[in-house]
Amino acid sequence: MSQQLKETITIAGKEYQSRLIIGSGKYKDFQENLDALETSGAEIITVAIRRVNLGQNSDEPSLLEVISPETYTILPNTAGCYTADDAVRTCRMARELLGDHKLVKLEVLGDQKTLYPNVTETLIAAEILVQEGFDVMVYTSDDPLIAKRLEEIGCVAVMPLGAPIGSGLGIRNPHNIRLILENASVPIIVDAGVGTASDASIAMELGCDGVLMNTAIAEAKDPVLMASAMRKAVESGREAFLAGRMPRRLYASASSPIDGTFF
Amino acid sequence: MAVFASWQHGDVCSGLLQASNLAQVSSDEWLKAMNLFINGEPKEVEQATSLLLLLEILKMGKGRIAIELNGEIVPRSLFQQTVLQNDDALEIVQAIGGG
Repeated sequence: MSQQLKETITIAGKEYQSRLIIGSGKYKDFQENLDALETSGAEIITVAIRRVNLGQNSDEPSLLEVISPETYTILPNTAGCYTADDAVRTCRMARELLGDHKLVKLEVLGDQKTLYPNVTETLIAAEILVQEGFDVMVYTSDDPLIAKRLEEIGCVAVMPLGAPIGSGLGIRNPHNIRLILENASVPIIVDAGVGTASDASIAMELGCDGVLMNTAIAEAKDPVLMASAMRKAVESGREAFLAGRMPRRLYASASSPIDGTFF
Repeated sequence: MAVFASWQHGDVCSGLLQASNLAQVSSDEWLKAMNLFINGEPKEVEQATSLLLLLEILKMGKGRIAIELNGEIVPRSLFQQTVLQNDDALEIVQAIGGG
């Protein structure tokens, strides 16, 4: 039982058992989302903030009636924002609708095709939001200087992408993620680009504090099964990291002794 | 109330008719609806509708929402006492699925 210690992650002063954060987008319905969420073991789930449809049926449940803020930590995002202004406005609305809730995921995009973050606008938005008392988990590129700057501004977690949002290409630049980790004093959570379980494990084996994913689960052929895989991947990657891996060698190193051979 | 005096019967009648037309126009003004913009769409409601009443009309009373009125967030505690005015622009948002 030596390494079965219940090791937690602390974000904005709150402890979580799970290092996996998932999204609520692209699911076929709320029930599938809830099933995947429960199977994944995630305690934090992202949501988007959008206009209410004026004609919508008030009898149908809304997302937060199925995935309750009483049970889960809701992480409102600023998806679709291309300016710091829009992102700040979105966070303020999110804080109001969730009842003085401070934890937000800041993302300011720069390009529709790649959904790559606009880091200059992100820096501006982060500064304003931190000053207004938000706990900012910030989506960014894998540039180590920007990551450090966002931490210095006061973000509670820095979330470098592994690959473009929804691309499923995995961790494209593990070296930069390592550089970010070396310099970090806040949790580093890979956000975007994870496609399958091994991608999540790789992120955790590098030493990341967590992984955030949406499409990898929602667009799997069996989302609930993939949620189970991701749960294990994040846990096993974390254990492998803590266990301290063997060194890589150019040549072989025999596993059986030479002494005592009888031939 | 209108009072007309004239030696000419016709003048009295036309004077009273004019006064009653004026009265009709005033009452129309008073009942006139006002225009709002809600989530980018125009909508007519009665004058002096409060934000709380508007949400009931739109059937958005329950559920977690946030509202911006002319660019400023209105806290829920102020919905009842916030009276809407002509050409007010509102954004009403909710949480939906997203990554």
